[in-house]
Amino acid sequence: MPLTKAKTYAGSVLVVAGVTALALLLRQHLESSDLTMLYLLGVVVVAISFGRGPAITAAVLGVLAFDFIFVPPHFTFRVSDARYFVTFAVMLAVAVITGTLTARLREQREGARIRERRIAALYRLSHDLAVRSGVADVLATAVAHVQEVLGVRALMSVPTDDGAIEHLAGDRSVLESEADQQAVERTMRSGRPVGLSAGAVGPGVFHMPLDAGTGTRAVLSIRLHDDQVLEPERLELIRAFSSLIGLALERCRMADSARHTQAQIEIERARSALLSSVSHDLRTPLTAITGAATTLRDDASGALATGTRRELAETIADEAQRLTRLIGNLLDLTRLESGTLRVHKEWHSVEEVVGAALTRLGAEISGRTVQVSLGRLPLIPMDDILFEQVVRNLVDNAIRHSGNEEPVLIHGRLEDEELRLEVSDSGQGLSESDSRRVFEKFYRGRGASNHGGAGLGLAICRSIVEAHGGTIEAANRPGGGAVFTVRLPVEGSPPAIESEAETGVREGQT
Amino acid sequence: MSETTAPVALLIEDEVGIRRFLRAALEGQGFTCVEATTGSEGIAHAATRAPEIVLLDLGLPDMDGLDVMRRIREWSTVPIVVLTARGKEREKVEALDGGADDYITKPFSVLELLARVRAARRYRAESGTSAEIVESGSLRIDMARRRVSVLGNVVPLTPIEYRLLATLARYAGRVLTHEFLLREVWGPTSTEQRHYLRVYMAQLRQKLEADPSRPTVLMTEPGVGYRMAEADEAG
Repeated sequence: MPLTKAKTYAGSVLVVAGVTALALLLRQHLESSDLTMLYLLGVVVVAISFGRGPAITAAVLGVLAFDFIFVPPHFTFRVSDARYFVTFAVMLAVAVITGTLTARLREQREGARIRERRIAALYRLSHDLAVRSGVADVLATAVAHVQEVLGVRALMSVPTDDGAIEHLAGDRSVLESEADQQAVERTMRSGRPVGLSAGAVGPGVFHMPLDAGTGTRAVLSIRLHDDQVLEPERLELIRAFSSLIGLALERCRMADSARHTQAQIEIERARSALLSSVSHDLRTPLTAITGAATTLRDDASGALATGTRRELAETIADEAQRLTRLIGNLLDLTRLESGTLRVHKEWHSVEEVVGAALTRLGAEISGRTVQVSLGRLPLIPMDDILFEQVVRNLVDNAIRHSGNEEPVLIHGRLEDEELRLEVSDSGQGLSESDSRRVFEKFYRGRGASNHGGAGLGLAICRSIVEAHGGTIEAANRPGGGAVFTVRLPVEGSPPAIESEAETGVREGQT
Repeated sequence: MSETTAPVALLIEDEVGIRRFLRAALEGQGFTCVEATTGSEGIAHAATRAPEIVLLDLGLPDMDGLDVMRRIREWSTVPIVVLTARGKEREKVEALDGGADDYITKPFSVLELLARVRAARRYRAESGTSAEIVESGSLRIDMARRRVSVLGNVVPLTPIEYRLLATLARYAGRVLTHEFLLREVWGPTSTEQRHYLRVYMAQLRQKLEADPSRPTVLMTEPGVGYRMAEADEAG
């Protein structure tokens, strides 16, 4: 810790006083020229310890003391012998030379120490920044460093997408007024420091752009306390920090952009897969419809047999039905995946939701038995519209893929605070890759191409169930056939309803 | 209904393909069809052509279909069936609560459409049936004697169960929204308590349906409400 100026001068006075005291003690035994040596020693000590100014002070004081006490006539400042002027001159010269030399040495040493500290601080900062990956993370780390190393209050501001300024890390109190806010914006726009004067910086606030050559990524605002001053060396350090942080931000941006590009590629790939699958699935029914409809239209002479006409009309109706289902599924999946579909949970009767699903399937399950066993389930929190679709898709899937006429079973029970709903069939079951992949989009199980599905129904089921916070899985039943199990968490208990007595027939007005 | 002049059906629909088959189906039922391709044209025709039924598409080019309906409702009680799309349950509820008599979801079959048109015309004339006996499938409700039976066997009901069933029966064939049913059965302060409805519908199905998970009379319209199947519709 360097001494203050006043203290170094006080020190030089003390040293001269000490030397004078020593000279007084020894003057019986020493020549006056030897006494000047003592003073010279004192001047050198002061020069080495305190620098040039105090050394000159010591030399002048020493000369005065020596003259006053030891040079005849004693106790006056008059000098009888001219050679003492030489002594005085030598003492002054020694003071100036030694003082200057030691001062230079000290400055060099001080400079080396500052450089070392700065390099250490920069090293620590760059090391800490290297392990951060997000912009917010980088800024928080950087601000912590700036505040700790420089002992100042600091704030990081970044531009948002809509052109506003967001303060991501640091001390919000750095910006005290609207003018400070505007200064941040100005720094962001111009890419040049604002509020920074040449030389040392006194109390107040200034703003540094953080930039790595491709535009200002953020602004570092620093506020100094009332008695705080930043010397040019520490300003240099701030500049160095700024470039380092700018580089780290640039690295974040490039990483983001790489990730974005990767995501774009994935989306593009998924889109082209979807397009090829969908165009096939759309074209097939459209071809059938077009063929049947034009045949009917062009049969001006009525040559077609009544049976054939009926068949063609049925083809149109069936294929249109298939198209409807496909488009419905595609829309649902798009809405589920884009997150625009919100799950609206209410307390529902599972039996009612299953019933609605079976009703809606209607003709498609005609001739097939669906056995439902739900016992006495309480109301369960779910989105009825979405869950009806889960049940519908699972039953539809079971009927299409079981490959036989055995009944489809729907079984539900409450276990461990969750609803378990199983839809099972007695068909050929799932292959190993089936049970892993059935819930993927566009995945069709073995032999599935005969069944007209587009591989979307189960993907929709999974999206809906997961949006409910539940799980769905596929497995084979021990006795053959596949079983799909939906688990829905049941949180809370259903609202109570007072029971009511049956008053039988002809009950009066209530 | 006069025998000499055919009843007028007003089709407010901008898609020519849909208008064409609606016209074919309705003319087959003895209607004269008036077509409008925009909402404002539809409102004008509704005022001048005295239609007995309005089929209104909710997706019109010039204005919101729901607004068209509200405008017509300002002065007319003509039965209105709205044509809507799947996944728009909120729109259906809004339409029903805003004065539509029924809705039908695209794509639909002609049979489905004609059933809705019939039901809508019937109830507009009577504002809910005042028939003493309502039958649907094996269910028979004697409204005058408050007696409910299935296949001839009397089924005891609680007062609320009966009120709920009677409300559905009065509008058999029509979808009644949750809000409407709650207001009718429990009173105007209970319109948020939808779980009441679910519990009581489950109880009614237990008592009245052969297989409560495959209802044939007490139908659910997910997200919208409930409907009692009409006599010819239920199994």
